[in-house]
Amino acid sequence: MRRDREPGGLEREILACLAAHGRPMTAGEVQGDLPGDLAYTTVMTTLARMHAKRALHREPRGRAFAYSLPAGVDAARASMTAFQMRRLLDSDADRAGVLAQFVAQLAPDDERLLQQLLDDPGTAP
Amino acid sequence: MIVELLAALALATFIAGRAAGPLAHHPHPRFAAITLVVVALGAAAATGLLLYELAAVGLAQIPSFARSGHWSADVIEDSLAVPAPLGGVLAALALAASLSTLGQLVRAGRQLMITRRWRRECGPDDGGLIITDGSPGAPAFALPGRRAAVVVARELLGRLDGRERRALLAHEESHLRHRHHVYVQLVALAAAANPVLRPLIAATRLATERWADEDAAAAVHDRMTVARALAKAGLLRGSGVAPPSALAAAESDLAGRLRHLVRPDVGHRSPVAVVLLAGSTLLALGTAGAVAALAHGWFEAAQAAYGHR
Repeated sequence: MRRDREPGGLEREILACLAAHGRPMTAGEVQGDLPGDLAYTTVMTTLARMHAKRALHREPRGRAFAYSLPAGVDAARASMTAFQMRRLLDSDADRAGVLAQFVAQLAPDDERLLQQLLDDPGTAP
Repeated sequence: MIVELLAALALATFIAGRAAGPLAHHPHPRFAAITLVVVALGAAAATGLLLYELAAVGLAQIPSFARSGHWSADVIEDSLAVPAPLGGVLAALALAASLSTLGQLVRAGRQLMITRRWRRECGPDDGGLIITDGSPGAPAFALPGRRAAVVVARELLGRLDGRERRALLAHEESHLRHRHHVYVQLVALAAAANPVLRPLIAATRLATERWADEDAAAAVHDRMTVARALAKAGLLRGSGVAPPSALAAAESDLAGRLRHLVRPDVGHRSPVAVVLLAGSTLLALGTAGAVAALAHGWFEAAQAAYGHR
């Protein structure tokens, strides 16, 4: 699946990349960090488009631009809704919630399993 | 006769509940998810229908009802022998099932409202990705709705490489694209109508998670990448304070998902489970349908008898 064909997919990957590194990055640096099937021009034009939409900030760096996430992109913390969201997500007893979590709460045995998978990929669970 | 009918329905839904678990490990989780939703809705519809039909037959013997409905209470009484008190009990059960279903709808609606409000508070343009710092508390999840988005914790993103990030995003995008939350909510509604169907909720949840895992594996052309992303997210989440009692006995969902990712041949088609699910649904619907047809005949005869008085 080519990411630039998934609507919004490449934009999400770029946002995730910038958030992961936490510092301004040029188009070349972003392309280097994303999986290798993306053309430099694709990454560059998407970054420029996102900047035009005000989804990204950019600053000059040499003859290129370094892109970064706008400040204050993290969700409101202190609000009542954030508290409700946390309760909603933490209530694993209600498995019929409307939100699908990537990983729900673990069973006690799971941590050992996960560490094992990362340390030694050869051992299957 | 009533006892047999209610027992048939109870047996059918009980079998469906037991057969659901194995199906969640089917090699094609998409097939499993769709089947579970169809079974759940069919069994719930049959439950509601049967309860209302029997309640109607029971209550129809009450003289005041019979007079206003223009049918002979005696004919009804001779037909199915649902004593009026039992009819009252069944009516109460039917009402309870309806209220329970309504309650589940309201609960789901409230949850959607909370998530929508939170989404608004996150600000206008985020490119479809919301990055959180420690709040609201889950490493990653999909926010369905008109302005759907993927939500990921910054700390998790920092621990994943480019391919693992792509796998995570593809997994959440699969949830949004296929509207998996609708599958789970429909089964939750069915289980609200008939609590014997509750095991189908967890099975549907696992099936849709595995479905999204498969989509993620296709996106990065590598199953281990998805497994590693899952593992890192899991370690970030940490283990719960007390595991739900169901987990103490069986393997956890996460362990099951990892098993399927690391060894794709581990899924089993469970033809027995599929047959049992199909059979139990047909039995349930058949029971409700048979009573409907019979009741129709009785009411016609009762109305005819009333006319000849």
